[in-house]
Amino acid sequence: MEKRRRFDPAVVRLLVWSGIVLLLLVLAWVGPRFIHHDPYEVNLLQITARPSAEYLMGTDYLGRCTLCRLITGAARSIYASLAVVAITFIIGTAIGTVCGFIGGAFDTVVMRFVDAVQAFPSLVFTIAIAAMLGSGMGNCIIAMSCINWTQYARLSRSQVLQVKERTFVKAARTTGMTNRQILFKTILPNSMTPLIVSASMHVGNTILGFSGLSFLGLGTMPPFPEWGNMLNDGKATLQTAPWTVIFPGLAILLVVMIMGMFGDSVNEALNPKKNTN
Amino acid sequence: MNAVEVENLKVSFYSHKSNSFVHAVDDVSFTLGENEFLGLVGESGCGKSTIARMLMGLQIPDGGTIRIKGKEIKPPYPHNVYKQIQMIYQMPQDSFDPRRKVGTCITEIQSNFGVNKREARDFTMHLLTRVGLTEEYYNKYPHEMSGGECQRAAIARSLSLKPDVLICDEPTSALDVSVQAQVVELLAQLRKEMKLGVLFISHDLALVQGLCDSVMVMYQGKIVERGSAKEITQNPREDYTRKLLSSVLLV
Repeated sequence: MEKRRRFDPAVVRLLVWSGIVLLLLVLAWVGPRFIHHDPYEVNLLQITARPSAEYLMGTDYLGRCTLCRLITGAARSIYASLAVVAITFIIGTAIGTVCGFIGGAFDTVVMRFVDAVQAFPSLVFTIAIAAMLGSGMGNCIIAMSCINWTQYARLSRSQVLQVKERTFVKAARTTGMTNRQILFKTILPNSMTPLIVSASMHVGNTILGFSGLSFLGLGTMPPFPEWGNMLNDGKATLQTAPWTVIFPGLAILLVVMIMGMFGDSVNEALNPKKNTN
Repeated sequence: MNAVEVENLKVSFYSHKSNSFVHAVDDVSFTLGENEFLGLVGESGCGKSTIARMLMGLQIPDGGTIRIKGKEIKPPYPHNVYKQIQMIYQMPQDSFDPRRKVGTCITEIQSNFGVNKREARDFTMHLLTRVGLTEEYYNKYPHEMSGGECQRAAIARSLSLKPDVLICDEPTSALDVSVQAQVVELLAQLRKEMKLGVLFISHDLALVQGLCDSVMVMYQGKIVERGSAKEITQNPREDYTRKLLSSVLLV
């Protein structure tokens, strides 16, 4: 009998979630072309209008369409937070992994530097760097990356220290593997799980972090929309027009959930133990 | 020529508990013949596994020399030393990378030593069948196998480079009794077939006496007695060996 080819369910899930993330990125890019209202147009006759057929998600305190502003701000919020997470994840993981693997004086010096960076209140430090670099999303991305890499460095170092003591890593040394092979083929894949989970949770926090910087005039400048900023603006009308907060909040939640599920599927595809049941 | 010669090997570790250095291995010398099955017994913490780790270059000794086939080696060992000496670990499932297929691990060792991938794969298949597994196990992950199957795969891995010396660090202690017997029998057969020098570390004196040509008894970092398995079990010279023999459980 001919054997039907079975696809690994974990790989299928990874493909599905990769597709959804890709769709999200494309929608954020092309979405602004399909909106019916000008997201910057102030309409004093429609201030905090309820959701209706014309304004599906209502309007904000200046009568601007919430849906149009959400769509317009999507690219800015999603791409910027993904950029911060990607930069901090790569730099932090690389530094932490090398420290954990090499150990000794190099590890001590680098980790004390990490301690020093973490000793500052992160928001104050980010604001200081962003203020020094000047306003704009690019500078905010750099400022936030300067601080946030430390959490990945610490996490990846602790993971590597744990994994490198396990028998299979010691066994790998006796199988003719070079240090580089041991690091990339054995230690790194086995240390990734908490890092991926942490990164996927980090996307939402970063979107909110940008709103803090924008509020201080360092990130997105008004009238350009950005999700964190929209949440911030909506706070004043929370009781009279809750939709100004609910919809940006739901948008952030949706992105965090999608990124969380994507992170889980990556983790599942990398971990053969999970997909046996 | 002896497969392994160890002279005055020593290592000590700092103990925070006693605030002093503990001599885990204290001036140990022994030889392992080319086709010899040498048992090393002793209580927990007497330094048996530390000797194994030093032989494998995973622990740097404080002093002493190790020679394999007459050639002195010092850690970190050069790549090709592992072609001569291999080890089987106590916890079979933990000795394989949980994210990689068992067959890939076994094939990769051979590729690391320059064997062409196709030949390495064929030899892995041969080894898997030789140790009592089927070719299907090539694509299995360690968690999909039982402890006994995993230990068989670990034996296949250690033999994939056709080493001269095999160190077995309590290879049966994590297995149940019926599987222990199968693994021990397999080791005995393979040793005959492959002309291996085997250092068999165990707590189990009864197992060692049935399997090994000669036995070393270790106590507090020192080899206190060495003799043929028969001599050690029937006419032990040292008090500690007698104590060890009297502690064997009889059911």
